[in-house]
Amino acid sequence: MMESKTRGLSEIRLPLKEAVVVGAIALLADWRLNPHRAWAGLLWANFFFVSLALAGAVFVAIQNTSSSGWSVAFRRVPEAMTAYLPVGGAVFALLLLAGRGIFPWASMTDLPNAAYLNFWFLAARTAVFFGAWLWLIGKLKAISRRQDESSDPALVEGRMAWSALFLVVFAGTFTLFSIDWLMALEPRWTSTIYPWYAFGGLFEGGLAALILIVLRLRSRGAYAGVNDHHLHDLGKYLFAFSVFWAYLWFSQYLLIWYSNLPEETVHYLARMQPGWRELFWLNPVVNLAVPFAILLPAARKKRRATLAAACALLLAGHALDLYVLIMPPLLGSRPVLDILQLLVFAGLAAAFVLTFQRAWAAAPETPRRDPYLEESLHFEGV
Amino acid sequence: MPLELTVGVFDSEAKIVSAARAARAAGAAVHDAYTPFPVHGLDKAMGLAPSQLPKVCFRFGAAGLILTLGFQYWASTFDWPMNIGGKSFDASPALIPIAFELTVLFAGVGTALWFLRMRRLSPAAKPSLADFGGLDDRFVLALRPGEGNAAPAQLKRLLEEQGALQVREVAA
Repeated sequence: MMESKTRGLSEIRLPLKEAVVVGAIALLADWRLNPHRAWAGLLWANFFFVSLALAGAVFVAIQNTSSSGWSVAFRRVPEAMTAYLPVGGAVFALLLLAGRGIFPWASMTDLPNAAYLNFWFLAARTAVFFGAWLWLIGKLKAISRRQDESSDPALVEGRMAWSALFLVVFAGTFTLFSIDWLMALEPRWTSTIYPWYAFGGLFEGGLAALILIVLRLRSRGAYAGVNDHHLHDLGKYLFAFSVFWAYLWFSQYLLIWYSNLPEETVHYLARMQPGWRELFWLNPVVNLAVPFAILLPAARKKRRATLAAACALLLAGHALDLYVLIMPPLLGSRPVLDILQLLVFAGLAAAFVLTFQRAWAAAPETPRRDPYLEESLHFEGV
Repeated sequence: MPLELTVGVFDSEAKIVSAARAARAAGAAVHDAYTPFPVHGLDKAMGLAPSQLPKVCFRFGAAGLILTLGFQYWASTFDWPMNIGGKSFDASPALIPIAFELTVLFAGVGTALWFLRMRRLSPAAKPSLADFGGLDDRFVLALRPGEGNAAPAQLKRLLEEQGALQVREVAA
């Protein structure tokens, strides 16, 4: 099994390391030409891949906490997705050290919440968040690895308890994390539903990435035990979270539209300018309308090519969603298509794939002695 | 002519699924199954056609969406326009929450009622094969001779081989 696995991986001949180098050069070039855009692009790309990594951890934790059996067969995929987190933390550290000038609050002197929004407190919070995530995810992965050798039921209880703790910690930390790095880009604007909305995008995009990776590995000969029922349920999961994202996207919009208060509408006013407006309205089309139409019938969720197309669309949609959230306050009244930003994005994408491949190849493709593995391999849905 | 059924009672979902599969392989037909909860894969093992409920659900949902959007639009634009915060009368975002809720309500309630209709379930319905524990913790499988024209004795043996706790012949 190990042999076929490594062969399957070496067949993927994407120039990943080169892409990381090109991304770094693009960042340097952009920084020389237009530092503001360079850091904005880096924030956008890094938040995207950090959210995919976190979604992997959230997925595993939800499955463990609810003692789900069906997902055990491919649990190593979301586990390996979290391997990007240290890279993501390092990129945020770079942003804090070199690029913090892009934060609009950094140059404001009359900020009412300056005690919260300042460099040192932000750096400390970010460090604590990443520390907590890495520590808890490390625990989950360590227990999972012990299940390669032992079917001790205490390990099942262990991964359940640590997962429950992770979910509680994640809920609090990601709330502040999304406020710190996204919502605070408009420091005078607040929305109480914002962290939920950011989580909706995170999980929607993360599920799309998870399904794409499982399909890719399947087509390379791994995960023979993952059947149509798994794909169908993953497709349902994806469909549900596309709708969940849209529910929150619209909820925030509706309340602000209704009350029509100037301090709240600034957020949408910035996104109703020509140029941004088109991207803003494209967002629900890509993230809800088209995937809804594609994924509604059961048969399409089981058809691999169709499911993969919906996932690719939703991944692009998640990137667009973050773009519309991050760029207007940083880039100003018009969107600028910056090839260098896209190269930086591609560089971090390559880093994500590299960290995933290394983490995935380091462990057997399934937790071999997990008591739920048998159930997962014979999973039949409705 | 009364229907001659051979009824087997099992104590696990795995056994009833495997028994239904074996019975159909032997040429018998599954009359019905009674289980305390939905058993994954049992519909396929029984040879049931795909359920029509997803289509019913979609149609009820679509009807709910169109009706509520149409009604709200008519009421707030033509029948009883009211100025609320200076919004235009046909302001579409305001229609969405109610349209969403009623789409879900129509789809959910409509599907449930359609299911009762399909299964002819009502307070007046006569319970069938209710005394085998299928409402408690038993899994009950009722077989007919089917195309293979299997004799009741043959069906009885088959159910016993599949691990039935008890087998009885019933005229339903």
